[in-house]
Amino acid sequence: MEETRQTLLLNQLWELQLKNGFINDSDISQIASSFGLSAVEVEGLVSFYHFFHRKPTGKYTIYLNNSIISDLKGFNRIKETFERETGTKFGSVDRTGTFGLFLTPCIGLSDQEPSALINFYPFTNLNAIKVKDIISLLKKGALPEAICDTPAENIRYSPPGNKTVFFKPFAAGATFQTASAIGPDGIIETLKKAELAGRGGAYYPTWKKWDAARQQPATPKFVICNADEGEPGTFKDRVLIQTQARTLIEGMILCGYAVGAAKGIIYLRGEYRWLKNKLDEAIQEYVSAGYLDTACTALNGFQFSIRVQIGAGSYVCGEETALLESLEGKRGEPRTKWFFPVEKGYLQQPTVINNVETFCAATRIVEMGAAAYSQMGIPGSPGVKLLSVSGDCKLPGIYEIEWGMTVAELLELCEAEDPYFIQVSGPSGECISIKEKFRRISMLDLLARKDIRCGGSFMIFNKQRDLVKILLNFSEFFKNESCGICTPCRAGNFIIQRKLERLDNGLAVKQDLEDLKNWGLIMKNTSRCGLGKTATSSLINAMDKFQDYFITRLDQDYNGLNLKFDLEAATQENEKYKI
Amino acid sequence: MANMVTITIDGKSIQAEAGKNLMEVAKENNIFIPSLCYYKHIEPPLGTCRVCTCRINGRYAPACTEKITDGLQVEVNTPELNNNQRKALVEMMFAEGNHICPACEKSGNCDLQHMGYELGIASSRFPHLFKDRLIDYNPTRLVMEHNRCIKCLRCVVEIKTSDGKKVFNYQNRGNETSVGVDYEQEARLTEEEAMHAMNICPTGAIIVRGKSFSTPFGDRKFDQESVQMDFNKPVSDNLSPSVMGKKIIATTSLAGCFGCHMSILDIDTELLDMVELVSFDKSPLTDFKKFTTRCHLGIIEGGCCNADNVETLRLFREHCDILVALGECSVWGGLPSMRNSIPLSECLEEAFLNSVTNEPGNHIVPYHEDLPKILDRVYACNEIVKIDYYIPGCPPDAAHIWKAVKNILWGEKYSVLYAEYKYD
Repeated sequence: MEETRQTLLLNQLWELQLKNGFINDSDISQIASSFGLSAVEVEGLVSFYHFFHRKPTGKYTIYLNNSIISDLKGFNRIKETFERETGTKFGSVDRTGTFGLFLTPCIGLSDQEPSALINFYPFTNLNAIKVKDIISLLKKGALPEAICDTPAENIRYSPPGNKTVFFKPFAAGATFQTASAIGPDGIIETLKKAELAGRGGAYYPTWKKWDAARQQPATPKFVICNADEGEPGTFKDRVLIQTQARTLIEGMILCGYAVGAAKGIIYLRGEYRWLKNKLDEAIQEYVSAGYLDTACTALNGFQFSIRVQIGAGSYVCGEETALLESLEGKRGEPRTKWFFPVEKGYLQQPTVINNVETFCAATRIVEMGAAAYSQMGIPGSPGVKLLSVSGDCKLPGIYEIEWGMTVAELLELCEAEDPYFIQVSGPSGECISIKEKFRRISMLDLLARKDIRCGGSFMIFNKQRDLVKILLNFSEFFKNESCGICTPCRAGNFIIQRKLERLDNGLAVKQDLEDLKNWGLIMKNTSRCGLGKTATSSLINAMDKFQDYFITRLDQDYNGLNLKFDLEAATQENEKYKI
Repeated sequence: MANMVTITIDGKSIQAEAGKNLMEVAKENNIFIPSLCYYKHIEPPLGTCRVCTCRINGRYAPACTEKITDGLQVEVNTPELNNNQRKALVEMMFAEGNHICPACEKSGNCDLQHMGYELGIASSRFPHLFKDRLIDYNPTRLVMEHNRCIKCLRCVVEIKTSDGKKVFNYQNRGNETSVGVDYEQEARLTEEEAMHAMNICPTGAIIVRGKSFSTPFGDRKFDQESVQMDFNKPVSDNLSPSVMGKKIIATTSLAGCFGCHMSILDIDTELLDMVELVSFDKSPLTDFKKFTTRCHLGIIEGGCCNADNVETLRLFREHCDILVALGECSVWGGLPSMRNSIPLSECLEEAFLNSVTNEPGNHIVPYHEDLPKILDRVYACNEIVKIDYYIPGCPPDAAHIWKAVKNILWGEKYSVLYAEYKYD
């Protein structure tokens, strides 16, 4: 079965967006007629992804990151500087059509914030002077690709004694001899022994997924790499692609070989467009070596191919079924759980979807053997994990830890500065207090809530940070990134934000806190996909762990009947007509 | 022979075909699972509204996306599901859109409204969002009323032209999500197809021009028939003692039309009973301008549109043991809140400066210290003070009002007939 034509739709839209800076009416109707769609369908697609625009975005399109980490590192000042230097406001283009300023959620550079993308090239560690220089260089005609930064890799820590798993040098095809000797069953068995589980954050056993896909009679099957690393504060996949693209490609080939797939696709988030070359080069290296696109003699004649698909700015596309929809050239709306992807995934064919880190780990496990891998970590949670550390610490970056390390040890390694609370696994994860610093980081005891199972992001905040402001930043993020298909997530995030604003403005009473918690639970229980289910988890968490703090934010004068109401603010507009 | 398995719904053992949709099986067994987006032959099921969320094998999941498997344990009617989650989802839809039942063509034929009645929703626990949404009059055959759309996806999946092109599709995302209409394709729909679009829409978002009033109000699908519902509410025990054997009531009309007060008068011959049992203090009925004593019950008609309303409402809260919000405007803003998505200055200037009968330069927006200041938007009463009970309707049915008052003041048990419980 060939991939349908609609799968090319995103690429075509990207081409127009990059060429003209926007997608105009005639593009829409042309695409609609050439793909046999109605115009409203194409419009729906374009309006879903925030890197696609229906109005011009300027010769230089600047996306400044507004994540909470960027906020800590001076977002407001950078924002003002961009506005002053370009003479336009965020959300618009200057009169000459030169600069377009836009905000965007986390761009995977939390270790070097504030950062921005200009024409999708990265500019990191911004300060007012640097912004001034960049804008003046662009005004003089410099190309963004010529003056952009090469983001530092910032690999800060690996298990001592040269025991790094992920970051050893790797030669293309290094695992093929072992893989062809042990065969597909052997590969799955090896992963089972190593207890590898999905590193996107769900921790579903990788071998089970691969085995289920292997059992499926339908062909062709697909292997998809989820490189849509959108969880704010996470950047481990970026560093893996920067430094270890080969292990990723090889992991996908091993998976294809194990499950009997013929085609692999890497879904790379739009924010990482600048990394596409790295992947293309690695793929090309494999093609030249005769490992891809032709029957690979080193792997019993197995034939496989890999292409890269670029996303277009949507957090929810990291959800696996939303990612499939997006790959098929549709709006990235998560599917219902009527079928699992291994049964009917991409184009309704059996599909394995794994995270970048999972594929890289699979390669390393096959390379070093399950036994050697299992010697690291702790029983029941063997091996190593990559963490993206950012926020209030001296050494933000990638930490390759053995499972079982405590939060306290990690805080010490990264030289955390007066840590007070830590957001683990991003806004959708768990908020922990410094009082819990002796908890271990592992895959164990999730229900007992003893250990912390971290998806990848580890954001540190000191005591001076305003928790309600942080939660507001998260709720703004979820409100914008919800796909909008189910009620609790679409309306719920909006409502939660309103309630948090009330709290922030000092108008909330005790009942409001109870409401927030109850409403958060309703969203968790009734939402369609992980986004809505987890959107309020850090809020609920924070309210449990920092009760005293929330009480101090309440309206103290509450007499149980009259609610605080700002009459002056409500009548301000009417005062305009005072004679 | 189909593969029959045994499942349990609310403790009842049921034989069902494996792989079949749980919604269908429940229906066949006369078990009502509230839902809005579910539409029988759409597969895979839409799963967008989430109202049918049940507890399935111990976890929360929507019934519409559940396939029957052996031993499935389903809980449908638990207090948590009915009174909290399911109700909350429908309330969320009311809070998210701008659903003004008294002014809606679909009222009485609306699934959302019906679900509100069935679940006994008198007010939304969520703040109304009053997002500015437009009405799209561009389509040839249809009108798309974005204020009312609950994004159920039915029309997107179901309505296609004869050559398979979509007529409706989602636009944008997050809280900006809306359903767009393709004007070109829409014009190609047959009358029958257009009617189908209107009929499958669970609210009044899709209206076919000239076809929305074929059945008169009162005779519509959800106007009369349903199971009778009980609304036995606990009696408040914080009432002040009766005065000379009578309870004292105060009433007021804030940003309302006095229609609710008219409805109080519609209590009719029972007014004779009423005057035996209660006396009125501050109220338009007595024309007392000030409170002369503490009251047992305050009945509030209308929301707050100006500073005077806010003061009056606060005064009522101070002088009354119990406050009841009477009618849609009082419950959540109602008709006056139609202005909430438009800036105040635009409203005032349109009314006093730019209207067709005004001569440019000769008029001003009224402003005087004796005039109450207009608020930036219309507020529901429960945004200003705590409200104890809600009676919806525009206006609420007289019988409903009197039953509710008797229940609140004397704990008399009562039930509201389905036909007496209305939002319009």
